[in-house]
Amino acid sequence: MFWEITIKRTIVLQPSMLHGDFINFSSALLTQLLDEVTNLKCSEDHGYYVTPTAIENVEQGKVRPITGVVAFPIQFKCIVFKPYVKEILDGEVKKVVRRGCFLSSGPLDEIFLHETMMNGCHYYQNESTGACLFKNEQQGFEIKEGTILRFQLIGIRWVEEQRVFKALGSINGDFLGCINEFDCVQ
Amino acid sequence: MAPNAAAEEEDAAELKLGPDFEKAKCLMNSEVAVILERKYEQIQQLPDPASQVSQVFEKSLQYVKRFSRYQNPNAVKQVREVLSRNQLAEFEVCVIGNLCPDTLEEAKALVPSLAKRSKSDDDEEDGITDEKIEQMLQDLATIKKFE
Repeated sequence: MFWEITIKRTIVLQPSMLHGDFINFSSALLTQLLDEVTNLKCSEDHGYYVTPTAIENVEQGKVRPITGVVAFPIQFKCIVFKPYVKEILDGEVKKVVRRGCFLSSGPLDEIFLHETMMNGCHYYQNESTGACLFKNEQQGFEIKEGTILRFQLIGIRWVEEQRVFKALGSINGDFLGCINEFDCVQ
Repeated sequence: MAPNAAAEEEDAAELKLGPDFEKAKCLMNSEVAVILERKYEQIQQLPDPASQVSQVFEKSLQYVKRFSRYQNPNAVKQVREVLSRNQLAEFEVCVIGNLCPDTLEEAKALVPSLAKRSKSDDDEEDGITDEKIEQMLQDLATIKKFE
């Protein structure tokens, strides 16, 4: 789910950014903030940092000794994407493997759907092309690369080293699975 | 084993959303699409725009563009209005806005916290009854039709 939250950070401006005949302070600060949010990428508590939307408050900057950089404590609004256990999401199938398939939903792009989490689906591989898919013959749908699925997140794991979430999905449940795609924009 | 006890307890079905999110503003995909598209244009005005668009931003923009049920910014506003009329939690509003359930059963299946509260139809205290949910879904369908 996407949220707009308020975050406090300290933004550091290099002396070179504050030098020159024409100093555009707010643009320098904004550029630096965008950089900061890009570098943050994701955290366990807040989820993925998408973009800052508004700077709410900039406090008095402090010059740091030796380096001469100026540190500004600022408060800003930021859009984040945070996954929750039991949340229901729409996503696209990225890859099909023997044991299941990988889904992606926006920034959360490592969701594994194991074959036991799609009841009634069987694995098929086309021997000449190597293309593989899961088929549910009873309900008459196929899951292959590009299929849009509605699924529930049943487990989420935070991977500190890569600063990403990895998740497990399931389409076993009412109103989950293939959804009518004409609702979505292509 | 449990590095973060708070994270362990988070559960969308029970509306346990984490300490920083209880008072935060939840956004529907359609709303995020409107904001990100405007933001994307703004970033293009900055010097060296290519390096300012993060991967997370790009993936999110692609995702919300594809999975937005309402395109027109005015329609998005109306949807928010319709959903806010009832005493729903922010999270519930956005799940319904994103997933667009057609029927009462579907709404209850996709938003379990809704099902729990609307059990007793006469109980007005929680502010949501089956009739109200159905009315809401009809209103949303109408907006979609005339968008």
